[in-house]
Amino acid sequence: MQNEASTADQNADNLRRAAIDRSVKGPVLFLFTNAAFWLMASTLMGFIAAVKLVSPGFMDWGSWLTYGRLQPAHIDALVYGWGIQAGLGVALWLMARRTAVVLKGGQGTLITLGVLWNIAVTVGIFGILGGGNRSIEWLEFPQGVWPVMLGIFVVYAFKIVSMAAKPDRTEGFMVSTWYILAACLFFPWIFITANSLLNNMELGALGAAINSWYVHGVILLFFVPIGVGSAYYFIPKITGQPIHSAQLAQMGFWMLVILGGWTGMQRYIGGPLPAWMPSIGAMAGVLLLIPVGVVGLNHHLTTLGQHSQVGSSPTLRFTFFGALFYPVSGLVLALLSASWSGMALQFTHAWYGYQIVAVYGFFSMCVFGAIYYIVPRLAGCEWLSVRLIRNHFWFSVYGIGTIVVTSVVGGIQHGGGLNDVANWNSSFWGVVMNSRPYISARAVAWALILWSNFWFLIHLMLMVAGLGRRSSAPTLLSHDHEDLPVTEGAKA
Amino acid sequence: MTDFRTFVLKLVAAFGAPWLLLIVWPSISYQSLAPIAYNKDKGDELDGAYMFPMSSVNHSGATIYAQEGCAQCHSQMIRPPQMGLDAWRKGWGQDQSDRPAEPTRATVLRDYVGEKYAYLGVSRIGPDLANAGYRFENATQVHLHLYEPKAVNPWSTMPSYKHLYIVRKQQGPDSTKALPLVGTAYAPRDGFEVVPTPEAEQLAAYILSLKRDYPIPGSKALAAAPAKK
Repeated sequence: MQNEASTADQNADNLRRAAIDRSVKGPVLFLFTNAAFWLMASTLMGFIAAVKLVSPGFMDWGSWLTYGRLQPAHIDALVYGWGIQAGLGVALWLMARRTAVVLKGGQGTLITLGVLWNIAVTVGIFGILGGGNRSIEWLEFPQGVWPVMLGIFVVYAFKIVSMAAKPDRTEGFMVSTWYILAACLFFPWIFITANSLLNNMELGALGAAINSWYVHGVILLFFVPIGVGSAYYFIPKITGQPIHSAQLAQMGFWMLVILGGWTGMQRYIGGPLPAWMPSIGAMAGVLLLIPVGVVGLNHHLTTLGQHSQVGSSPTLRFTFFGALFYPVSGLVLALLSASWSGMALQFTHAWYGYQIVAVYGFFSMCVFGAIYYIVPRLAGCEWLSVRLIRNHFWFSVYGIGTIVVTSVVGGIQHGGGLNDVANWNSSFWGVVMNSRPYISARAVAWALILWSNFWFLIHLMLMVAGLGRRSSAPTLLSHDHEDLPVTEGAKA
Repeated sequence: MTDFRTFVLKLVAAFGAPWLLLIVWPSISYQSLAPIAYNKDKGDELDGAYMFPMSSVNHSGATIYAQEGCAQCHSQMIRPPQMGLDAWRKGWGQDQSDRPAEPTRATVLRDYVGEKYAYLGVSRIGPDLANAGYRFENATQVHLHLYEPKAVNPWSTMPSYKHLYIVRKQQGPDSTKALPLVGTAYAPRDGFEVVPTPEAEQLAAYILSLKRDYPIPGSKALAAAPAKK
C-alpha cells in the first residue's frame, strides 16, 4: 500500500504498525491458541459422532458419548470455542490496524476475560456431555453459562467498537471496519434476545422458530461479517490492488445487514407456525444470493491478474478459498430456503452441510488466512514449515469439500427417502442404509481434518512460544525458506 | 465521528425491524393465544373450544428428552400433505395401519401450547414423534426401544440408552417393572432383571403423552374425534 511513499515515511509507518501490533499481542495470541485447541476438540468430536451415526456401538462408554450429546458438543465447540474466540482475535487486531489505535492498557483484563471465556465453554461442553443438554440448537450449554459469555463478549466488543468511534486515522473507516462493527453489535443483540426469551418465556413451537433465527443470525451476522471483513482486508493487502468497486462493497454489506435478521424460520416451513414467518425467512434466504454474489464478484475482480499470489502467499491462499466458499454457502442456504428444494431438504443431512460450509468452509478458512498473516507480526518470528501450512491447507480444503458435498448430496437422497411417495409405508431402514456411505465419508473427512488441525495447533503453539524462524522474509509457499525480498508488505 | 454515529444508527434500524416484527412482537402476542371455539355450522362435531391438549405434557420427561438430545434425530412436527409425505407415513399419526383412511393432521401452533419449548427437531434420522403416543401401546414397549433399539429393529442406528436402566439382582418373583427381555440376545444374566430408572419412566410418560392430532375447529375433514385410548 505504501509503495510510493518515501523510505522515511515507510519507516515511520512500520514503527506505528509495530506499536499497534505490540499493544494487542497478548489477547490476540491467547485467543488464537485457545481457539485452535477447541477446533481440534470439535474436530475429534465430529469424527466420533459421525462414526456413531453409522455404528452406535462405537465407543459405547455410557451416557457421556451418546450421539444426542456428542453432536451438539461438537457443534458448540466449533461455534463458541473456536469460531467466536478466533473471530474476536481477528476483529481486535484488524480494528486496531484499520483505526491505527494503540490499545492503551486493559490487555491483562482482556486475557483474564479470555481465560473466563474458555472456562465457560469448558463448563458448557462438559455440561452437555454430563446431562445438562438443553437441546436448543447452538444454545445447548447449561443455563448459567450464557450471562458470563455475554459479559465477556460485550467487553471485547466495546474495546473494538470504541477504537472505531475514536480512530487515529479516519480514512480507515472502510469496508472491513463496517463488517467488524456489525459483528460486534449484532452478536450480543441476537445472543441476549434468544437466551432471555427462550429461558424465561413459554413459547412452544415459536421457541423453535426463534432458535432457528438465532442460528442463522449468528452465521449471517457474526461469522459472515468477520469472514468477509477479513477477506476485504487481506485480499487488497496482499494483491496490492484496491477493492475493485466501492458500490458493490456498499451493496453487499447493506443487503446482508437488512436481510440477515429476517432469515431463519424457513427451517420449519410447513411447520406449526403462522405461515408468514417461514415464508419471509425463505424469501430472505434466497434474496441473500444477491449480496453473496456481489461480494464474491468484488473479491474476484480485486484478485484478477494477481492469482499467482494465491499459490505463494498462505494468507491469500486460505482467504481466497474462504472467499470462494462464501458463494457456496449462500447457494446451500438458498437451496435450503427456496420452498421447492427446502421442503425436500428439510430435516436432512443438508442442514449439517450448511453449518459446516458456513462456519468451517467459509469463516474458518478466512480466519486461517488471517492467522497466517497476524501471528508472525505479533510473535516476532516466521512460520516454521511450508510443508505444515500446505498440509493444513489441502487437508482442510478436501476435508471440508467432502463433508459439504456428501452432506448436500446425501441430504438430497435422505430427502427422497423421507418424502418420495413410493416410501409411504416403508420403515426407516432405507433411509438408514442410504445414509451410510455419506456418513462414513464424513467420518473419514473429519479424521483427515483432525490430522491437519493437530499440526496446525502444534505449529501455532511453537510460533506463540517464539520458536518460529528468525528471518526478515515471510514463509511463502512457492519457495522453501529462501530469504528473498517479497511484495507481501515488509514485516513490521 | 458523525460518520460512525450515523453508521451505527443505520445498523440498528436495519436489524431492529426484523427483531421487533419477527421476534419480539410474536413472542408477546403468543402469551395471549386464546382457545378457539368449535362451530357446528362449519361442520365441527365437537362442542366447546379447542383447549390446548398438550398443556398437560410431562415436563420432567421433556427435560430428559432434551438432556439425551433426542431432537438431534427425531422431529416433532407434521407438515401438510402438499408439503411432503409426513401426513401419510405409516405410524406417524393416530392410525397405525398400513393404509390410514385419512392423512394425519398437520400440526399447528396451538398444539404446542403448554410446552416451554417445542423440540421441533434438527433432523429426521429417525421417524417423527409428533404423535408418538399412538405408536407405542404401553410404557414397556417404549422402554424396550430405549434400552435396546436393535431388539426392536435389528438395523436400527439408534443408540442404546442403557444408562437410564438398572440391571439388578432379581428379588423374589419377577418385578412388574422388569423389561421382557428373557429369550432375546439382550437378556441379562440368569437371576438378574432390567428395570427403568425414574428418569426412564418420565421419558416414557412424555413420549406416550405426545398426541397432537386433536381436531381443530373449522376443519371439517379432520373433525372425527380421536378414539379414547
